Amino acid sequence: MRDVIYKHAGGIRGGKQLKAFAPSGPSSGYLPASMVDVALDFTALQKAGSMLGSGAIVILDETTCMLDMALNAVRFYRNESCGKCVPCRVGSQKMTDMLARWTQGGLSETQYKAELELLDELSTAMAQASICGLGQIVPAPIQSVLKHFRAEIDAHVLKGQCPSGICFTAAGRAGEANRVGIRP
Amino acid sequence: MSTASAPPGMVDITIDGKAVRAPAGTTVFDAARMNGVAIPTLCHLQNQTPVGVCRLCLVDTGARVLAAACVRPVEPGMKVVTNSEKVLGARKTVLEMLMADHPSPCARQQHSGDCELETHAKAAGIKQPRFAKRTISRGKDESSLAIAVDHDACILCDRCIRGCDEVKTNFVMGRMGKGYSTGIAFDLNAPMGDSTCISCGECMVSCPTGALTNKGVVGTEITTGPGAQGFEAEELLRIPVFKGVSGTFLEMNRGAIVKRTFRKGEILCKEGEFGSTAFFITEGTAQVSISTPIAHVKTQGGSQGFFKRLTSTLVGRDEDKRDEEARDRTIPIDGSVDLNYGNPVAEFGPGDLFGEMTCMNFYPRSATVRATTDVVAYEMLRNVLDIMMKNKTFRAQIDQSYKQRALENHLRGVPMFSDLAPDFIEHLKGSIELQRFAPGQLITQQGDPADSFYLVRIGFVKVSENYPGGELVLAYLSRGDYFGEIGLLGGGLRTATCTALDHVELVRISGDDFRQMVERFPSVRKGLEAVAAERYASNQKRMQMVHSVPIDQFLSQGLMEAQSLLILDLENCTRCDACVNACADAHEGVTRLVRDGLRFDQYLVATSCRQCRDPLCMVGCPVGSIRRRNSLEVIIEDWCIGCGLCARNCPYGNINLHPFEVMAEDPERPGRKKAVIQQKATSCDLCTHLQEPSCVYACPHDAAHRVDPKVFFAEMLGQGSAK
Repeated sequence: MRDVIYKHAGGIRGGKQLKAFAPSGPSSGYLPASMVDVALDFTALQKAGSMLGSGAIVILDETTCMLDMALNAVRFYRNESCGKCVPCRVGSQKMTDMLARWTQGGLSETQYKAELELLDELSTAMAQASICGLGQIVPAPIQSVLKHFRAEIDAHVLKGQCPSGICFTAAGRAGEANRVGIRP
Repeated sequence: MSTASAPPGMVDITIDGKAVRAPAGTTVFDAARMNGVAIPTLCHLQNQTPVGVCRLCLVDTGARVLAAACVRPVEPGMKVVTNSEKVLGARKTVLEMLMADHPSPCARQQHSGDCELETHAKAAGIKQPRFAKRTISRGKDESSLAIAVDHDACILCDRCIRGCDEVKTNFVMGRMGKGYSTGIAFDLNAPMGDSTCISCGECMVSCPTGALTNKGVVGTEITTGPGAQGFEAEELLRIPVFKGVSGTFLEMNRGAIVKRTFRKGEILCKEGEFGSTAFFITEGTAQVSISTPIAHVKTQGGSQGFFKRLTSTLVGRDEDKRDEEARDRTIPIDGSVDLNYGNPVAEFGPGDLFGEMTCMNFYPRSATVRATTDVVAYEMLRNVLDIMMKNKTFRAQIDQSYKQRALENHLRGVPMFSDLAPDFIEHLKGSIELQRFAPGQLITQQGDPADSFYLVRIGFVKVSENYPGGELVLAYLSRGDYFGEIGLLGGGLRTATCTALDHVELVRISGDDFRQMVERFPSVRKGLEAVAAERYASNQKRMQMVHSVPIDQFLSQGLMEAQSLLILDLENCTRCDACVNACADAHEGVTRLVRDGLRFDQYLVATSCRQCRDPLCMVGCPVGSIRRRNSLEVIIEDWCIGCGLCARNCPYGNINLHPFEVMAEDPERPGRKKAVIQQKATSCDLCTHLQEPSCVYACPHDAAHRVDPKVFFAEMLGQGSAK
């Protein structure tokens, strides 16, 4: 993976630090920079909890907010859901709502714990019950972020802080308000 | 688990550890259901193709992900788990998601407490969904007069869509949009009221939630009018026979049932009038009668001199006996009793239902009903009566009332049953079965084994026989008629196909009872055998006719069945219309012939009754007074009430209504009489009272002839020698 980023693609723009990467678009989940030496083949990626799917690699630098990226991916799935089965149609919206709320912060410890539990249940249901791959993969980005970047999410939800300075700015909030909920 | 391998076409699986064998192709859902394992579902209905979209019927088959049981076929060796924590957890989350968006309690839950989603959610222990509620409403559609749409209560199970497209093949409904904003839509997302929806209601009855609900049609014409009173559904439910009917249904059909109070002497309904309601009396008594004179039209000639004076008069069968006239002692009417020929009056009381035929089949009223005391009655439209008839309590009372009051008359109305002993009729009261058939439904099929005998109680039954090239209608049977005896007495196979023409109710007498009856009562056997032989012979005769003439002419003109045709030789005819005038003169101004019709070579076959292959005139007669004689001629019985339906049904205009001035009871002043016009249906009588039909006699150019078509056209067609 390191070779792909630094050798073949010419490194990160502006010499910034690598934060995370998705070997196969958001569907494969985000892996942290520490795993950059993973080999780009099926078994190695599977072992790392990811996959070599479409092969559309996403590279994130140090200025990105991981929760924002997860939200962005879920919102994308929601928009692309065909609406046929319940878990995908409703679940993708419920997950979008949940993550959007996390980016606003202000939850108590107990609330957060309950939310995490609910997210887990929702993720399992979507992965197990959706008809096609789209619904089954919706939970992947947020689950990977929870696994590798848990501290960043805690900061958002409990302290109202975005380590990357994206979520709690006026611009961020205005943009979010427009993006939550269904499109007209 | 059994060790033997499954026979071909069968598959062995386990469901929750239990060995189960099912035919290949069976879904896991059905295999489980057949073995007593209930799997919850929202989108699956027995009468629709499964789609597997609600994901509630999830089961674990050991695959990577859970499978929807309603679409997953069984596979050899499959191990199905329906109740693991994983399965139950996923089902619960699916329900919780749906409940988060559900406007609970939805319209259906509020009305009848049986919203399927809310029921399943409750069973799964979901009280307060933890997910965020729907933020943007998908809206409501109130544009249809009959059905309310609440898009927010819709779970997109597609049951309405399949109901509309698959079950009713109306193809109005579909989905619109995608993802979370998907919704059901009518046409190209038109408001339901503006769409091509015909309000059949299939979507509504298919809907598991309150997304599609009955708006309750209010303000129909029946809620107004004489003696109408509003009432609450609870009031109705207190009446014993309404027990068990859904209160919500009555509430929603408020406009389709009305309580009426009639004062003594007031008329509930009048014979011959069109209507669409049935009456159920709860208090008081009413007299049912036929006021049109029980008689048929007879044309009588005066002196036989040059100036003949002809008059049409009404005479009963006792004064003027016609060939093969029915000798029934009772007149069938649209109620739980039959009327006596000599004195056509009977009484209805509390618990009596009448007007079923009018209500279900829209036939004219068969008799006049007048309150003899103050009467309280519920008048209902077809949808309410239909539901009532499906209600066990009501149904039992109506059936009981029929068995007690009408069965005996009904049986004895058939002349050959008049010898049945009272104890046998009592026995039949306990063993007969009342059966209902929907329009178009097959009752018996030609060639099938005969196992029962039927009496027609309500509606019309078409009796037909197949022959190469088509179907020949042998008869239309209505109330008081019976069928099935030929098969039982003869070879044990049905000789004809019987189909319900409209909403039909039959009294079924089992083959055993029938055999017992003919063994015990030789006169019944003799009578039945005679009739069966006669029916059989006339059917055979007709079938032979069908085979012996060119089929297309027979089909298109129906000429060969006619007994006596009026033909006009167009080479001689000057179109002076003297024949028509003569007919009118002979029948007091009402002509029974029109100088128009089909042409055959140089002959015009004038419009006069041709005893059609398919006698449409007989369909719908509310009192069963028009029928075929065995000679195929159409005869109108004395108890015609002049409603005019047969005249309207005749495609050739060959039945006319003849008005008569008669003295009848004055509705405004009971006890006094006044002159009123009563109509009677008539068809060509061939002027049998004269030496020659008036039309033929009157023709100045020797162009009009009455001929036997079989002889005449046989010559015409070159089979015989010239005249």
